[in-house]
Amino acid sequence: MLEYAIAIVTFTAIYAVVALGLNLQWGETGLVNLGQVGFMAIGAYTSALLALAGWPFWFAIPAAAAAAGASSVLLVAVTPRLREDYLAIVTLGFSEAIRLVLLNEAWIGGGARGLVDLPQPLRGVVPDGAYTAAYAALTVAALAVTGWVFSRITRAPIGRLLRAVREDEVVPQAVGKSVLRLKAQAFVLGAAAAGLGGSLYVHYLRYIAPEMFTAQVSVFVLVAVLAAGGGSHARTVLGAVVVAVILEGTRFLKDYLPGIDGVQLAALRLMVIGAALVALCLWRPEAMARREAP
Amino acid sequence: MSPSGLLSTRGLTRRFGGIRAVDGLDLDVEAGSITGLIGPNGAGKSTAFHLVAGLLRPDAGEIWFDGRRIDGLPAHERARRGLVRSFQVPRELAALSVLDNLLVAAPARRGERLLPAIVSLGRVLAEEAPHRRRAEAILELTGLASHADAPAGRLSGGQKKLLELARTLMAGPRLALLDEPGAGVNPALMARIVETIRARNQEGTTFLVIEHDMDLVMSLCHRVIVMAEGRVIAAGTPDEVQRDPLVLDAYLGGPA
Amino acid sequence: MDLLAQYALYGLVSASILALPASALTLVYGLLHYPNFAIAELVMVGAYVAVALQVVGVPLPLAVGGAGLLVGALATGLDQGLFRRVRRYGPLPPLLMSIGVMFILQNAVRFVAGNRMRAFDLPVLRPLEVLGLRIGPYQLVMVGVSVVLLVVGHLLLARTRIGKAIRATADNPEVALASGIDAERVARIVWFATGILAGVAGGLLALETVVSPLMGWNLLLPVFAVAVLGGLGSLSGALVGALIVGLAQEWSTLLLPATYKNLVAFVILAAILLWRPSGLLGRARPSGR
Repeated sequence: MLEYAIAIVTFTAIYAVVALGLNLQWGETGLVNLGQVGFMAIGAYTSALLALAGWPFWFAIPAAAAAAGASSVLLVAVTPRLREDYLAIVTLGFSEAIRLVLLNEAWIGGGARGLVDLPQPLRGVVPDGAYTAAYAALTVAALAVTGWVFSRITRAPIGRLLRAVREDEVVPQAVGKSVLRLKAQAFVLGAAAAGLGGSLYVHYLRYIAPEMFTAQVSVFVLVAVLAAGGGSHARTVLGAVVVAVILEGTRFLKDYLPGIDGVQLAALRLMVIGAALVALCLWRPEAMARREAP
Repeated sequence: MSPSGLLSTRGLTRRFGGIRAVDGLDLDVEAGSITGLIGPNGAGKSTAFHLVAGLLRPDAGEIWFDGRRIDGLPAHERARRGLVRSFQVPRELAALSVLDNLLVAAPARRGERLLPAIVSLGRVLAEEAPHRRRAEAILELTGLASHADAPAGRLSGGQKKLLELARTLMAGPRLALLDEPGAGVNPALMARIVETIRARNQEGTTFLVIEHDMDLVMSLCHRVIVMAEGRVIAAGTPDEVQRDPLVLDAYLGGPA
Repeated sequence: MDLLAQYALYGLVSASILALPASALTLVYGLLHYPNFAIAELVMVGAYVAVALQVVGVPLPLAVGGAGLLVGALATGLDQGLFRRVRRYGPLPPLLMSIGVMFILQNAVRFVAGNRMRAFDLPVLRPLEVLGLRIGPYQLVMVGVSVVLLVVGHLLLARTRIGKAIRATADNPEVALASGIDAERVARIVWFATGILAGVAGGLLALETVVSPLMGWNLLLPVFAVAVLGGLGSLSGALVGALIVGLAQEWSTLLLPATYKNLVAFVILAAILLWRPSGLLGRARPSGR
């Protein structure tokens, strides 16, 4: 039971890191991104391959964040040209394209079979009996650092500019601020958080495969951010807790619902997530609607 | 060779479909002046503003600001050099406070960069103090001080026009382009706007103002430029322009 | 050369399936101005309904037609119960809502039918040879039914009163309203048509492939690529787009693994959005004020 609780803390912290990234992009800056899982995948494969090649984790994990952030520049470059509904399609497609490449190019990460026996940080440093607790502490620490960095950004003048971009990007432009630079910064940092989360995810599970990075995951973090209403870091973490509890905290229900098998329970969970998304749209549509660009 | 005005355009042209909204426009705004830009509806005044500020790209022509070509620069670079515009339909940042609406326009500073914001947030916030004081002074001047902490979306239509002016001034422009600052504003607020423009002009800010209210133009402006069908048809002191037969013709013969 | 022609024929078969949901996507977009991400799941539901109907003894043509009607009813219900309520808030709320619906549909089917693959109970028929090219009899049926459906759809839109009302509302809602057109009725009819197109596409697809809960998701990128390539809102664009995407996807398998088909679709989608966001046959939206 304790192990189960530790696992839930670990998953929650990882989801929360990725959700904080999306919140910086979408909640603060108004940048639609339905492809957060693509950046998780890039981060996860980066650190998995580096760790397997013998690089230390103090290098591999930051490298995962950096690689995910750098790859997002591709998408930033197209944002000024796309309306938000098109951006939603492109970001979703981008993450699916990454999954397809990982699936087909076996030389990168073993294709569909993926890679197993990934090295783990802190292994050997902490006693094996306390390892899962130590890993949970590591993910919570990663969440704390991410939250600290992002909250400093949003409290500083640059945070005000990001919100200005969200409200009406013509205004910051008209008073001398580079909107493209601001968007790039928010997008890259948000993607880096996803890369960090992806890396922590696969080293926890000790294996990596493209099937872990389907578009579903982007929707999980999207629901966490929308449930928080956008903007507040603390509430975003709370949103991630709710989503993680729906996803990971309902596994024991199988013992109490005799007529339902594993596949059905998994399907039920995802239906709850879908219903939550629909309910959020019904409940607060105006919070998602943005002012039309000129 | 660069033209002599603070802002000059030469042969500026922009077509929409087959229509030339701005058609070979030669505009000159003297440093230190309050210049009015008038003309019947559809004369191309707002399009000229968009072109000068960089929100639209010209099809042909040159734009000079302070002795340099600026038509290749993106909009924010032009604003950074002191060419700042207001919008005819107010574009307030609705969810941000009125004070924050102004602070967005404060000049570039360390706190707008990521690293200083993360590493030394305390210092960065301390550095905001003078900008905050200046914003409060501008809010005082424009009569918005009592709304400083309210979300800008809750202001009345007239107050939003004042906020447009306040934000433009907050950016510290050398040349402020004001697009109908008084449209739809009641007389009391109107007097505020005139007073504010005059006070800032005394301190050295140049103004180019699109306005339909002729009484306002004639009392406020040192020089007036008249546009019709995308071109300048007259320019001079308010008196000279008022007596120009071409101007009378454009207004009486025009659609407005 | 023969190989190119043979794969072009397969491309035509793909195009005939893609054209149906892409037309549905573009119809709703043209009228209501948001992309419906659940469209591909409606195809998947249609496939399951058709297979289920055949299992309980409904003859195949009726099973496919029944899938169209049932999914049409489902689509209308979704619009009336959900999408209609957030329509006026711009594209994002209905877009996100359609993603939620996508989740619900996909997993509701998984809940009921499991992950096991299913298929029609059909005799295996030998492919026909025409001019040295091979085509399966069922593929011929897919192309035939799809073409008939699209032609009928175009005729309805071009000739009938309700078709004219739909076009008028898509062109200019205010004028249409002023001339006495019931916009809500138009929306209901369009959603019903959307469901028919998607449901029949699902039934036809099940003639050739096995049916699984993920089949909708696998169609999503190609369907969007088709609609965006043709120009969201343009029905004839969807046909042209379907042919181009269908051909490109099939020809790509001569060079790349077949699992890259969807990557090809995404590349087309991204390229068209960057190069010409209004699509090949779409009308450019005015930008700036």
